[in-house]
Amino acid sequence: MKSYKKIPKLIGNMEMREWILKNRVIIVLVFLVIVSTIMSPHFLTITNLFNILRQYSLYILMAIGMLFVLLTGGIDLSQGSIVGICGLTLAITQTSWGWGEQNGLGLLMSILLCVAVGMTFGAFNGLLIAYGNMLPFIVTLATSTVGRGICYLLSNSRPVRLMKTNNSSKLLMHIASKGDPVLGFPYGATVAIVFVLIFAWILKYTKYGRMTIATGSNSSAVRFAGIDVKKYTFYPYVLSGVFAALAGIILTGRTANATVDAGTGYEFDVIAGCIIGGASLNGGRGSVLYSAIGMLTLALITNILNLLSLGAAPQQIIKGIIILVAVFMSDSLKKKNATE
Amino acid sequence: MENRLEMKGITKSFGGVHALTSVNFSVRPGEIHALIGENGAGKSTLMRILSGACNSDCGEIVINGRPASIKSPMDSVKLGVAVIYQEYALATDLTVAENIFLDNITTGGKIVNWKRLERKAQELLAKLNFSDIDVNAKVSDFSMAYQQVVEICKGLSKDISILALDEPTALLSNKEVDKLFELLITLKDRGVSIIYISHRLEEIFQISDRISVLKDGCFVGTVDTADTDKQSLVGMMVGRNLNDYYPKREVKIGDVIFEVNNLNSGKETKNVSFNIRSGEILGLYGLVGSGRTETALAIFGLRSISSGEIFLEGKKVEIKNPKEAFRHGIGYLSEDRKHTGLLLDMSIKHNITLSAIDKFTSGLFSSINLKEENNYALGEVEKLAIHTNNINNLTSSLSGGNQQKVAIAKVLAPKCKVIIMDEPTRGVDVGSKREIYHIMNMLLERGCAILMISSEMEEIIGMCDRVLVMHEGTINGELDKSEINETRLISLAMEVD
Repeated sequence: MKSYKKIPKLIGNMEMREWILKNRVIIVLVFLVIVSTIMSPHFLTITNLFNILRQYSLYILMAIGMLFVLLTGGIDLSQGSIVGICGLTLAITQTSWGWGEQNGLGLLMSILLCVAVGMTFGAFNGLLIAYGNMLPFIVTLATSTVGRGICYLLSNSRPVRLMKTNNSSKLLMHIASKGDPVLGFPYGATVAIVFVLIFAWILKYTKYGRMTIATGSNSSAVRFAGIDVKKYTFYPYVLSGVFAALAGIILTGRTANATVDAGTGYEFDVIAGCIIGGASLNGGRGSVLYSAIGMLTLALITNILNLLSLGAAPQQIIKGIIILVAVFMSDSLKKKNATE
Repeated sequence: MENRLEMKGITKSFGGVHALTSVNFSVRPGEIHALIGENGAGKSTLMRILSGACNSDCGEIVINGRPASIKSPMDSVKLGVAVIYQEYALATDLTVAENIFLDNITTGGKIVNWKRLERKAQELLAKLNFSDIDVNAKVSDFSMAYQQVVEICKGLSKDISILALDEPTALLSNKEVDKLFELLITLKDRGVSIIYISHRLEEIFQISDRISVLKDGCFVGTVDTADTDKQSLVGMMVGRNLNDYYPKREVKIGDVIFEVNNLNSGKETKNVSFNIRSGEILGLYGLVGSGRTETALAIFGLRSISSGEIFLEGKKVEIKNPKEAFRHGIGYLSEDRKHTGLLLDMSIKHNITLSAIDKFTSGLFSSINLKEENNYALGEVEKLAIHTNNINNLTSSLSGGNQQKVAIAKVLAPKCKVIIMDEPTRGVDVGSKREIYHIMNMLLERGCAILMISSEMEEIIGMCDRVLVMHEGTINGELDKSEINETRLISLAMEVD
């Protein structure tokens, strides 16, 4: 350890390793941006960057919900199905139910219904896990399967298209796929950034955030401290359901289309993003901002592989390896820290 | 060959704390040798060294006249040693036969011959007069006693000559104990040497041939059971030098502020009644398994109470969970820092304020005033002498003593009037111990009342104004400050009187 003791002075009073450990996601992101810029001339362009944000803002929203679940030591595998159901709910209410013909009010009604659906799913997960003492993995796997089945029922296995002639559908499509008139910064990304900031604040500055982390850190000790552990285990699933609903709304708006299998497998990308951002599957560790950055990192990797015209198969393999490396890095760094 | 097993000069320390100091212990063939001593005397550590679960710092083990090198549990098995701990090491979802031959399931061959496995298991059980056990039934279907028989059979499947049992009767009913004793006699007659660890003197006099006593990790002596009695055994277990290690206090003891009447909760708490005055430390002594912690948990709302009343400052209170206990002003310092006491991977500051976070929150979103929280934590760190340079460091980075002080700070944060401290100085270095005693005195000066559960007699004698002694779920006696001495404590805890 002697060799590195001189270095810290270069970067203030923080120890080098601690600094790297804390900010490794940002370091990786910067590294990726540099490499990507060198490898492809199309990478560092406004169009490309805004495209990434437009595509991935919904993943970032899902990552906020997922992070809160991961913090308690749980997992939510039903997010993808909730995205699918809420997408269909939105498209069906806008078209078949005719809510799309009314202006903003129709859109608001559709959105509120979707959020209610996501909330219900999340509350169901949370009830079984927190109050029924069932395993998060099993419960959310089951609700995920049920949810996908509901998607088939709702849509008769046929995609539901939003109609451009409907005023409120048109409004949604505009918000989900366009950006502000001056810079063209995607509205979806703005929404994601606002939520990231709000929930980063909640995690750090409110009792709710603190107790969520504490519950994941050691639930027995929290119970002994006179705190309602079940409550703090329950709410993250509701949150996760609501964010999945928002993601479903944005996805449907951007593609103007709700399909039966929309959102399938999104939860795994989201979990990967959180883990790259330093969240622990054992609970008690993770940050909203870093999870969002982790998600962006995964997005950048996909993007540069696309720009380099790599096929889907090698992309999958590379993504998988990167996730393994991320987990390996955080574990080995943590262990080194613990033995010091 | 006179002795089957000889352990010579066994020394073991855990992080500076001496668990065993140069212990000599020997067992003859075909005898039942009881090993006794109060909590923490080193009995279990000695057995762990014998089984290879941990290694001694120095010392030598001789089995059948030959020096034995036991570095791992595998070594001890090869030498014919089986140690059965309080928690059985059974795979409860497997059958009796599978468990008995768990580490040699193919009974010598390459594939499992189920018929042979069953037959061999049946033979073993028949030898022990337990042929009524169905070898194809799941272990989880059997009572504790029968599970223990299976555990012993597991040892016997490997040709053992030394069998050690750690508190084998703690979970058994009287009838089951008789059954176990029959089995032990059968084994003894077959020439097996049995080491029998127990707190129950009755049983020891009933079954053992010789008795060895350990005290504070030192070997006191071995006596023939026929030549001794309970009083002289107690005499061997006591006798320490008390020094002025315990800080004096001059606190006026006030009125009764906490009272428990006929509390019942499961088997561990039977008709427990007591009261505590402000400014007083009431000790709760007893051997492991006597129901002290369980009683505290029942008061704190973590175990359901079947009957009984709790009064705080004359008013009856109902406590269904720790939240209500804290609201009434009753705090509990857990005996298990790691699992139920602290959030080791959170910061010192967050641990200190955990139980009282509401004091620092305000507004619609219960946002935390980080500055106030920080100041409070800094104040506590100074007051309780927690040695750290940064309250944002992880709690796991602290030493055991400082972790314990953080745990205490956490319990004190809600400003409780009655504080139950369960083993407040367990695993703590000498310096921190003294600091913790100072903290306790400071609390008494504030008018608090402390119920201190401790397994350390010295601590009980040094700190308590009164002591209750528990034995098998009931309070076996109460001693005033002037009456507290080691002999009285041990006698009450072991029910010698």
